[in-house]
Amino acid sequence: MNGSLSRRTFLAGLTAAPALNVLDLFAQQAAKSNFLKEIDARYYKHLDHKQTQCLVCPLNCILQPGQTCFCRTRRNHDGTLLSHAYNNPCTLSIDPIEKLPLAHFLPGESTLSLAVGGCNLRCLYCQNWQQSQVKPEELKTFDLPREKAVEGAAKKEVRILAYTYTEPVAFYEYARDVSVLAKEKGLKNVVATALFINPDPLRELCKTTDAFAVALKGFDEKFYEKVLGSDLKPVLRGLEVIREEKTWLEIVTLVVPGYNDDLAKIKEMTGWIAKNLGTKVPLHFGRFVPEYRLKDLPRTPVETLEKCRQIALDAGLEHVLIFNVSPHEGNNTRCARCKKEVIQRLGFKTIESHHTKGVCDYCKTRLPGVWEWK
Amino acid sequence: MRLLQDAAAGRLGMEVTRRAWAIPLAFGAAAQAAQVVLAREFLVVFHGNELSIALVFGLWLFWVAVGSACAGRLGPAAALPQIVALPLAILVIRDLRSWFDVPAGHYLPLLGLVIASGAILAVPCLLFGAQFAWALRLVGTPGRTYAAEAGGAALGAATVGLLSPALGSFVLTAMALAPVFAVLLPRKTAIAGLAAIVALAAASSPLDRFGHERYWRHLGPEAHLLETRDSPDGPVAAIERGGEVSIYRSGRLWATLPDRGEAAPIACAILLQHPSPQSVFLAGGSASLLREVLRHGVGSVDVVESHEGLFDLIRRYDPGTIDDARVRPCAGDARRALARADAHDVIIVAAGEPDTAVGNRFYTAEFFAVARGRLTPGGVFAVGPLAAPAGYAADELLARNATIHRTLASVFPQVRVTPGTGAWLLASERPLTLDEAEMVSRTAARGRRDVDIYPLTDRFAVEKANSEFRTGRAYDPLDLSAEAPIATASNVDARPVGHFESLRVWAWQAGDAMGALLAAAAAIPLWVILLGVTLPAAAGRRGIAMFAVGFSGMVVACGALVGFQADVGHLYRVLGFLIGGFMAGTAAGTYVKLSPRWALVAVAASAAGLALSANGVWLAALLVIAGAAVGACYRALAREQDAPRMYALDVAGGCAAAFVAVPLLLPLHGLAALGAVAALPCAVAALRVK
Repeated sequence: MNGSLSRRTFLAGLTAAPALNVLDLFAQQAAKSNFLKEIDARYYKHLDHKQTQCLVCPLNCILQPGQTCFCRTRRNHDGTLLSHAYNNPCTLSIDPIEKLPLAHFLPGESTLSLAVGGCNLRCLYCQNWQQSQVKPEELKTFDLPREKAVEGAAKKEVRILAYTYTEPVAFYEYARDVSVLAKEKGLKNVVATALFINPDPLRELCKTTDAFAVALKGFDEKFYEKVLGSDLKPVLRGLEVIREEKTWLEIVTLVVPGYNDDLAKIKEMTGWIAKNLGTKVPLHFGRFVPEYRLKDLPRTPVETLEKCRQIALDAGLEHVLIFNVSPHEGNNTRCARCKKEVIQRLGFKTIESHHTKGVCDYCKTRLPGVWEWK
Repeated sequence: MRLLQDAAAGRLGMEVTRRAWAIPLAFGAAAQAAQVVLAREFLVVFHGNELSIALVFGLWLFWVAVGSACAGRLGPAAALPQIVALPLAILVIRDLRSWFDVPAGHYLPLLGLVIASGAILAVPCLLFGAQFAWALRLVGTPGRTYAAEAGGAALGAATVGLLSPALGSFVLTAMALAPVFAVLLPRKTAIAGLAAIVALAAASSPLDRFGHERYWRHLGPEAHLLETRDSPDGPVAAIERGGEVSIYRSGRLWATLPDRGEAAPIACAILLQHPSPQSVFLAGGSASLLREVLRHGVGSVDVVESHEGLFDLIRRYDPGTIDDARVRPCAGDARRALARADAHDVIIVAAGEPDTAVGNRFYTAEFFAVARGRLTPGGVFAVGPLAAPAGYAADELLARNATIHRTLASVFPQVRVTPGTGAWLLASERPLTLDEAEMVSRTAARGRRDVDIYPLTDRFAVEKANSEFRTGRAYDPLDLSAEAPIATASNVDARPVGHFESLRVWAWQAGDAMGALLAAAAAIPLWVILLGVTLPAAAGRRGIAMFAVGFSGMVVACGALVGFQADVGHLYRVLGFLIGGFMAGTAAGTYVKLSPRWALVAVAASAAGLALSANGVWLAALLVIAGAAVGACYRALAREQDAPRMYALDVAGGCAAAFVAVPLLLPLHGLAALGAVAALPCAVAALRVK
C-alpha cells in the first residue's frame, strides 16, 4: 500500500466493514423487542427473601429475583412478578372460527387471532415452536394495546377475538385484559389452549371467554411428561372447571403418528370425556400434516383417524369430527337423534345447513352449541 | 483424495520395494472408495444437501493428515481395524437420528451434524493416515508414489461408481479393503483379513437391512420398511403405516400414497387458472398431483421424474395413474426436459424446498424464463410447495420466500401465492385469481365440486400469503405499520441466494448456532473476502502458494461437484466417477513438468473455469483439468526438505476451502464468485512466487 492510506488504516478498514455488518445484525435483533411492556402478573404470591411464586399454571414456579418462569413470560423483578407478554403479539391474523377448531360455535364468523411468544409446555411436535419456545422479546412483535386490538377487530368487522397459535396461559394477563375490554364492547372471546392452568385463573378467564377449544393431546401421564413436558391431571381438572362454569367447550386431539396414536389410550380418553364432561361435547380428531420441523413425518393415516372416531362414537360421544381430511364424512355434523347430516362441510367450510338456529330441521332436536349471536 | 500429497509429506527416502507401485495404488483405491461410500451415506442424513460433500472432504483431509503425522508407527497393522471401523461408521451414520434423539420427522441439527461427521470420520481416516505414513517410509519415490496413489484413487472412485447401483455400501467397503490387505499385510494376517472381508461381504445384506431399519425406526414401531432401492439421486425407501405408503428420497418424505385429498385443492388452484387446459407438463408431482390433473379433462400430461424407479414405485403402490393413456412418463432431469419440450398450457413443477443446489435450480430466474418460453399464450406456471408460516413468520423464512417471489415476478407479469403451510407460486401473463366466489364457480363448472378449495381462497389467508411473499415482512391485518418491502436479491443460477437463504431456514428450524454463522457470512461483502484471500498470496512465499493451491483445488473440486448436480440434476450415483476424474487428472498432472509460476497459473486458470460456465459436461471436464493442474503444481512446489510443512499448508488450504469457503460462499455468491475467490490467490502467488 502507498499514498495516504497506511497499511494499518487499510487493515483496520478491512476488519471494520464486516464487523459493522455483524453489529448491524445485532441491532436488528435488538429492534425486535421495541414494543415490550411489563405488567404485574395477576396470580402470584410473595415469599421470603423477595422470592415469588407464580400461580397461573400448575408448575407454580418459585423464582428468585431475576429469574423467569418456565413459560418464559413472567419474571421476578426484585420481589415483584412481572409479565412481559403484554401488548406485544407476534402473530396477528384473521381466521375463520372453524379453524380454531370450533364447529358448534357461531359458524361462519371470523376471528382476530392474537398470539404472544412463550409457552408453559414443551411439546416435541409443536407446530408453532418458533413462536412458543422463545421469549416474547426475542420475536418481532406488533405494538397492540388492548384498545387497539378491540378497535382493530371492529374496523375489520370482526366480532370475535381469538387467543390462539401460542399458549394463552403464557400470556394470561394480556389475554384476560383484552377479553375484558372486548366483552365490554360487545365482542366475544374464544381461547385455544392446552389448558395447563390452575383452577382459579381459569375460572376468571371463563368469565370473559365464550368458547374454549382445548387441545387434549393424549391420555397418558407418561406421554404428557415425556413428550409435552407437562402433566395430564391438571388438564383434566381444567376441563371439569370449564364444564362447571358452563362455558362452551370443544376438545381437539391432533393425532400424530408414533406420538399419540395408541388406540387403547384413545378409548380411555373418550370414555373419560363421556363420563366427566358429557356426551354432547364435540371432539375433533385432527390429521397431522408434515410441515416445518416435522416435514419428514408422514401424515396420519386416515384409517387411524377413522378408528379413533369410531372409538369415540362407541363411547357415546355424539359429535365426533375429523379435520385436515377433506372431503370426509367426519367433517359433517349429524343430529344425535335422527342421525341425519345437519351440517355438511368441506373441511372447515359449511356447504349445507339443515338446522335453524341450532335446531335440527328433520327432527327438531336441539344441537349442542352456540348458534346465535346474543 | 490427497494421499498423494500425504506421500510427499511423509517420504523418508527408503529403499523401494518390489511391491512399491502397488502399495500407493491400493491405498488410493481403498481410501477413495471408502470416501465416496461415506460421502454418499452422509448425503442422506444431510437430506441430499450437496454441501455435505465439501464437509466430508475437509474432514477427510484433516484426519488423514493427523493420522499420518501421529500414528505412522502403527504400520500395516492399522489396515486390519478398518474392517470394523468402516462398516461401523456406516452404521453410525444411519443411526445418527437416535444418537441425537431427534423427534420423529424433525431435521437433524445442522451444527450437530457437522460435529458428528467429524467424530465419525475420525477413526477410519486416522487409520488410513497411519497406514499411509508407514507406506511412504517404505516406498520412497515421490513422483511414482504420487501417480500410483492418484491412479488408485481414480480406480477406486470409478469402481464405486460402476458397482454402486448393484451393490450396497458394506459390500463396496469390503471390496475396497481387499487390495490393501493383499498388498500390505504379511501372508497369514492377509489371509485372516481377506477372510474377514469375505465375512463382511456375506453379511452385507442383513447389515444393510439392519442399518436402514435403524435409520427408519424413528418413525415408530407402527411404521414398516417395505423396501429400499438405489437410484441416481440417492436411496429411495418405502415405509408403510396404517395402509398408506410413504416414499422417501435421500431421507426426505417425497409422497404418501394413496393421496387422500391433499393434492386436489392445489391442482384445482392451478388448473382452474386456465379456461381449458389441454396439455400439461408435470415435473416431480407424479405421486400426488397427477391423479388430480387427469380429472381436469386434459388431453395429455408429460410427467417427468428423475428416474424410472419412481414410476415403478407409483405403479406398485398407487396403480392406475402412470399407465393412463394420456400420460407420457419421462425419466430424466425436469429442467432439461422442459427446455426441450413443446409449449404447454400448464406447467407444474413440484420442486419442494430450494435447500439443495438441485432444488434451487427450479427457483432461479433462468428456469422461470425457460418455463415462460414453454407456455402457450395465456398459459399458467406453478412451482412449489414452499414452507410458509401459518402463524408467526421468522425473518429467515420471510426473506427466502420474498427472494423467490421477487425472482418469479421479474419474469412473469402476474404472480399469486396460494395460502397454506406449503405455498405454491402461480405465474402467468394474464391475471390470476384466488377469489373464493370465482374459484367455487370454476370448480363447479369443471365438475370438481367436492374439492375443498376453501383454505386456498380464504380472503385473509390469501392476503397474508401474498403480502408476506411480496414484502418479506410479517402480515399485518390491522395495518398497524407501514414498512417498506425488504431488500432482496434475485435468485439466479450463478448466484443461488435462494439456496443460501434456505440453509438459513434449516439452521433456524434446527435452532442451532449455524444460523448465526450463516448470518455473519452473509454480512461480509465479497470484496472483503477477495482481498482477504488474495493479500497473503502477495507475499510471494512458496508455503503460502501451497496453501493457495490446496485451497483452490478443493474449491474447484467441490464447486464443480455442486455445480454439476445443479446442472445435471443428480450427483449421488456419479460421485465416484467425478472424483475418479479429478484423481486421474492429478495422476496425469504429476507427469507434467512446469515451473512453479506456470503451475500456479494453471491452477488459477482452472479455478477461473468455474466462472466460465455452469454446464455439467464442462464442470466434469474441469474436474480433470483442475486435478491435472494441482498435480503439476504439487510437483513444482514441494521439495524434500520442507515436505511436511508444505503438506500441512496444503491440507490447511483444503480444509479452509471445505469448511468455510464452499459451504458459506457457494450458495451465497455463486460459482463465478467462488471461482474468483479460488483463482485470485493462485494468480497473485504466480506473479510473486520465486
